[in-house]
Amino acid sequence: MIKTLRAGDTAAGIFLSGVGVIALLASMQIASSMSGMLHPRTLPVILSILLILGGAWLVLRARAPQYTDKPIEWPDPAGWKRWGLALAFMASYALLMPGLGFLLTTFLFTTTFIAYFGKYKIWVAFAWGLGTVGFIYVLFVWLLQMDFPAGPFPF
Amino acid sequence: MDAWNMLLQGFGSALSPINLLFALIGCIAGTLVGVLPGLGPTAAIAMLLPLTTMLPPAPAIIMMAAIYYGAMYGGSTTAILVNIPGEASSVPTALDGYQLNLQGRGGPALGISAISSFVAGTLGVLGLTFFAPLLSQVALAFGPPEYFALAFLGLSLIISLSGRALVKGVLAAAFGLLISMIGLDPLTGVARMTFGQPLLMAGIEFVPIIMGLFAVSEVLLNVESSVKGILSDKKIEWLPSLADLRATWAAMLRAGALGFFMGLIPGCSPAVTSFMAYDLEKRVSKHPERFGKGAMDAVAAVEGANNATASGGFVPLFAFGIPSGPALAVLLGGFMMYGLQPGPRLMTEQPQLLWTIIASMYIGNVVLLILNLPLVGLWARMALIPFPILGPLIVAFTFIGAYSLRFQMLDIWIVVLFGVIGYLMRKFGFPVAPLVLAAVLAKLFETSLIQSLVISQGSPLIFFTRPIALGFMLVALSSMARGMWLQFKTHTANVALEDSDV
Repeated sequence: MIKTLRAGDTAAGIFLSGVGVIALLASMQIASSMSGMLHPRTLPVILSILLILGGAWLVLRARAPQYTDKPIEWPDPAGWKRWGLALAFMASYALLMPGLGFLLTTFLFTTTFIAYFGKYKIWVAFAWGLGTVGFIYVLFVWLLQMDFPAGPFPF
Repeated sequence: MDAWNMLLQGFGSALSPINLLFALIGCIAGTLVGVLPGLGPTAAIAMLLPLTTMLPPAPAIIMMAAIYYGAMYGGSTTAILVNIPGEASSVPTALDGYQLNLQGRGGPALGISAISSFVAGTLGVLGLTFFAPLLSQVALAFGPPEYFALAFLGLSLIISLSGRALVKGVLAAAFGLLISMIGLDPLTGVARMTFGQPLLMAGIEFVPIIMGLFAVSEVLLNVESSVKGILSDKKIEWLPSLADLRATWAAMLRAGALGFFMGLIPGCSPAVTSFMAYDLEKRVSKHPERFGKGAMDAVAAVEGANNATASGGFVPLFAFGIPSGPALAVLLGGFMMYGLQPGPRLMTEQPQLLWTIIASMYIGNVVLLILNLPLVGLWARMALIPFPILGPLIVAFTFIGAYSLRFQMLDIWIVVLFGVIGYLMRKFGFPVAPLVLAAVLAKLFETSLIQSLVISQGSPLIFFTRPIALGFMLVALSSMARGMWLQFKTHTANVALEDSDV
C-alpha cells in the first residue's frame, strides 16, 4: 500500500514512465507523411520521452535522503468499500446505458446511489430518481431534442 | 455620424418591445446553457438557429448574441457550487470558487462572479462601440506564428499553476498534451496512438477530461469520507459584502481589459483568457498564497475575463466577418441566413442593424445582472442539498454534458477514467490545472506550429522575427524564468510560494 508521498511519487513516476514507454512505442508506429515540415510523430515522441525522463526523475527524487515525506490520507476500509461501490455504480451506469437507455439507467443509478449512500427510505430515493429523470426528459429530450441512447423506450 | 449618435439610435431600436423580449429570452437561455455542464453556447445557438427564421433579423441576432454572452454568466455556477466546470473557461473559477463555497461563501462568489461579468462585459461592449474599427486590424495581424506564440505563452502559465510541485505540474501538462494528440494528425490526417481503435480516430475531447478530473473525482472524495453535505456547517453568506466589492473591483477592471484585447484575436478562446487572467491576478495580488484556497479576486478576474473576451470577439466578427470561436461562427451563420455578411459592407449598408445589436448588448448585460443576482441565493442553496442526493445528480449531469459533445459513449468512459485519475492526482499532490490547460491548448499549439514551420520552410526563427510573435515569446520566456526563479528561491530560502493544490 502506498502510505506516504514518497511511495506515491515512486509509484506515479513508474506509472508515468510506463505511459511514456507505451506512448513512445505507439508513436514509433505512426506512419510517415510526405507533406509538412514536422513528422506527425515528432511531438508525441518528444512528450513520451519527457514522460519517461520526468517519471524517472520523480522516482529518483523520492529516493533522495533530503526528500520531505508526508503521509497520504487514504480512506479507512469502510471508505474504500464506499469508494469502490461508487465507482462500480458509475461504471455500471455507463455500461448499461447503451442497452437500457439513458433514462432508465439514470433512474436506476440515482435511486441506488441515494438509497445506499444516503440510507434514505426506498420511496425517497425512488422519488428523487423519478424527479431527476423527469427533469432530464423535459429539458434535454423534449425541449432540446437531444439524442440519448433510448433503450427499450421509443424516444 | 459619430459613434455616440449611432449608439443612441441603436438604443432606440434595441429598446423596442420585440427586441427587448428576444434579448431577455436570449439572456435566460444563455444563463441556462451556461449552468448546464457541457452544453455550450455553440450548441444552443445552433439548435435555435432554425427557430429564428420566423423572426426579423434584429431580434433573431440579438437573441443569439445574448445566448453567447449570457452563457458566460452562467458558466461559473456549477464550477463554484459543485466543482463542475462545464466549460474549460470555468476551470480557474472552480479552483477558487469551490473552495469559497466550502467555506460557506458560495453566495458571495456567485454574486462577485455576476458583478464582474457585468463590469467586464460592459467594458468589452464599450471597447466594441468606440474602438472597433481601430482594433479590428489586430485580428488581421495574426497568423500561425502569432498563434503558436500565444499558445506557448498559455503553456508557460503551467509553471505558475504548478505552484511548488513544478515537476509534477510539467508532467501533468505533458500527459495532457500527449492524450490530446491521440487521433488524427491535424495536417496530414495520419492516425496517431489509436492502437487500431476506430473510436479513438476522432481524438479525445478536453471537456470530458475536465469533468472527470473535477466533478467525478470530487464525488469519489466525498463518498470515501461519507460526507453528508458540501458545507461542513450551516453558516452561509448569501451576497457579497462591500468589502468583497472593494477587494475585487481592480481585478474586474484588469480582467475586463485583458479579456477584451485577447478577444480581438480570432481563435483565442475564453478558456485561454481566463487562465491568463487568473495568472495575472495571482501575480499582482498582495496575497498570492490565497489562490487555490478561495481567493475572491481570482473568481472576479476569471469571470470578468470570460465575458470581456466574448464581447471582444464581436470586433473581428463585425469588422471583417471573422468569427473568433465556434459559437461566433454559428452566429455568423445566423447573419448569413438573413443574407447579411458581417464586414465593412455591413457597417456601411446596415448600420442601423449593427448598432441595434451593439446597443442590445449593453441592455443584455444589465438584464443578465438583474437576472443573475437574485438567483444567487437560490443557486447557493444547492450546497445545502445532502451529498448522497447531490452526488448522483452531479454524475448524471456530467455524463449528459460529456455525451452531448459527440454523442459517443467513449466520452462517458473518459469522464469515469479521468475521475479516477483526478482522484489519484489529488492524493499524490499532482496539480490538475496544468493538465487541463495543456489539453485545451494542444490543438492550437500543434496546428499553429506545423503551419508556421511550413511558412518558414522549417525555421523556428519565424517565432522571433515577427513583432507580435516575438512579444508573446518574450513574455512567455520571462514568465517561465520568473517562475523558475521563484521555485529556486523557495527551495533555498523556504519562502512561502503558491500552494500546489490547484
